[in-house]
Amino acid sequence: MYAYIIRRLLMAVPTLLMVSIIVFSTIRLIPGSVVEMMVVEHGYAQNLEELEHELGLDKPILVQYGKWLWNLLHGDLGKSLWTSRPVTKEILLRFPVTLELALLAIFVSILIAIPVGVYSAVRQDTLGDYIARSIAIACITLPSFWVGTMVIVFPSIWWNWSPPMEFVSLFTNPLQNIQQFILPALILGMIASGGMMRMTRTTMLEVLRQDYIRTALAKGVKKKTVIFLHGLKNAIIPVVTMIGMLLPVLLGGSIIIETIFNVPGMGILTIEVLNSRDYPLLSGIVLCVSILVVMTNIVVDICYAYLNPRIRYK
Amino acid sequence: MMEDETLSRDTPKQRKYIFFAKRFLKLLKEKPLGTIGAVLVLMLFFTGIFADILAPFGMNEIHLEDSLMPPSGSHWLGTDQMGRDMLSRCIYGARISMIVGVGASTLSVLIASFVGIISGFYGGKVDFIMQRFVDTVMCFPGLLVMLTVMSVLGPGLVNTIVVLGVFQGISVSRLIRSEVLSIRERRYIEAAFAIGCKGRTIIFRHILPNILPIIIIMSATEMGFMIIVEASISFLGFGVPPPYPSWGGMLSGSGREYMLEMPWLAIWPGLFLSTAVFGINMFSDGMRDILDPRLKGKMQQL
Repeated sequence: MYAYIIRRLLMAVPTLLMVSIIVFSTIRLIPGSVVEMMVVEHGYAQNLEELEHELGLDKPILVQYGKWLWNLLHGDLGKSLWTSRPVTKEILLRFPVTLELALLAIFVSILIAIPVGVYSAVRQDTLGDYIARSIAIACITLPSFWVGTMVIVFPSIWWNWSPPMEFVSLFTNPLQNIQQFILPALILGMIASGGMMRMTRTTMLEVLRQDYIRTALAKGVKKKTVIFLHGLKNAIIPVVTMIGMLLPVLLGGSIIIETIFNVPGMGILTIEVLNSRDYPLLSGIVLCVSILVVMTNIVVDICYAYLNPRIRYK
Repeated sequence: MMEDETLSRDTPKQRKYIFFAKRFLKLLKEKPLGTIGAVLVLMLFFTGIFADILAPFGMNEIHLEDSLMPPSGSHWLGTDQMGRDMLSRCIYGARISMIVGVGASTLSVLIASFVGIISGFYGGKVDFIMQRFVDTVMCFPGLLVMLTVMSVLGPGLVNTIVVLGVFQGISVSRLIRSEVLSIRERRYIEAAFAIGCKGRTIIFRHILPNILPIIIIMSATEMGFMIIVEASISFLGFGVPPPYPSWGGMLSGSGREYMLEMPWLAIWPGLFLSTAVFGINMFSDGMRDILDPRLKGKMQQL
């Protein structure tokens, strides 16, 4: 097991290095226009060269990368172009909000996906299966921005009610905080549950075709026990990986949901930053989120190896 | 007797139609969701291709005197704040979604097949380096990267297709690779090597036909996904720019400003979008059940 963990950690090193190279080259590719924009719009510096020197853009690219990576390892991601505040500070301010939203959404999606997925696999090609599958497809299909918009529009027309839009921190007023988060989390969780439902159904169908299921049934084990103990316990393993893979989906989805429900997390920050073309901050966001995803993948893989001994001994 | 008489009066052509109708009913009974999906997909293509004929007004025909009208006889789905006919805009929206869906999913499947086959077939160092690259791309959250790249490249239909196709193509190449890896271990590949076939021959003769079901399923699934992502990006203002009537873009500009007074501005585009993608997904699901070799074989009765 330890050997596996070490191997898995080592494999993440080239990935992280590559992430840093890609993110770095994107900032390097863009700034030309940004520097000009700063000079033209804000009168930041007297001329282009002075500003480029200030931002360190006039040094050789490898030196810049080395310096950037060195700062990165010390937790310094540079400063925002417009507000001059450290990028790490801006991100740390917004991150807990998105994390809360994502965790709530994962909770919601597990609650929906696994029971429905199991039911629809066990009753394959019956009316119940069709309904469950239609729900799953609907979850994937319904665009979050549309569902979010409808949830705001209709209650306000029918009952003159609209979801709370003012953000309250979890620590100052938990109840009000949950009130604001419940609708976005439900929508986000619903979208995430679609894929998980289908995954549960497919793996469950595969598992239920195995010989040991037939054996268990033949020796007279109760159907419920077969489904949950022999079936689900084996089918759930790939679904665990799926939960890890959900993270990028949720972080992406939160961009839309946060915009609609005015939740001040990373999503809204991303849109603000994209509109103001604040590339140091943008690259900071992309970098942090990708590192987070790499870390989650490692954790998921280790859990997977723990659950499934066949992986460990490969 | 009655039946016999009607049958005997049928011309061969009619009998052919009856044959197809029966086949269709059989399919409907066996795979109801898939068949409904197929019909919806055909409708999307039909609407997209013949948008010019089907739409009662032009996509940007402005009638300011008719602005913000509720659904009526002349404007079936009402009009927006510039007096543009919503039905026509939704119909043209089908064309944009169709182009993005087909274009981006084709591009992504081509890239995925190329990367997946090379990586899975040649293995070794090639595989290792390519997979680390794929790893890297996969750990960037899709929407975030697509938005970033779109903000650099600028909005536009072609840019949207390329960004969606390339990014998604690299991400899903894993699926193809794992399929190629398992096929590579089969006896007939070993045999082909033994009789001295070249790598390229084996790829085209033996690997490609065997992963074709996966590729077909993937194209269908990707198409639905691409349409949703394009709508999301356009909704956020980085995809297909106005005045082009993208279903996502329609929900962001006019739809948002006036949605509380005129809710149908927000309803129609989303309804069209959901129906189209729902159809595509049901269709691809049905195909998966038919084509996926792993789901063959009868299940124990429970």
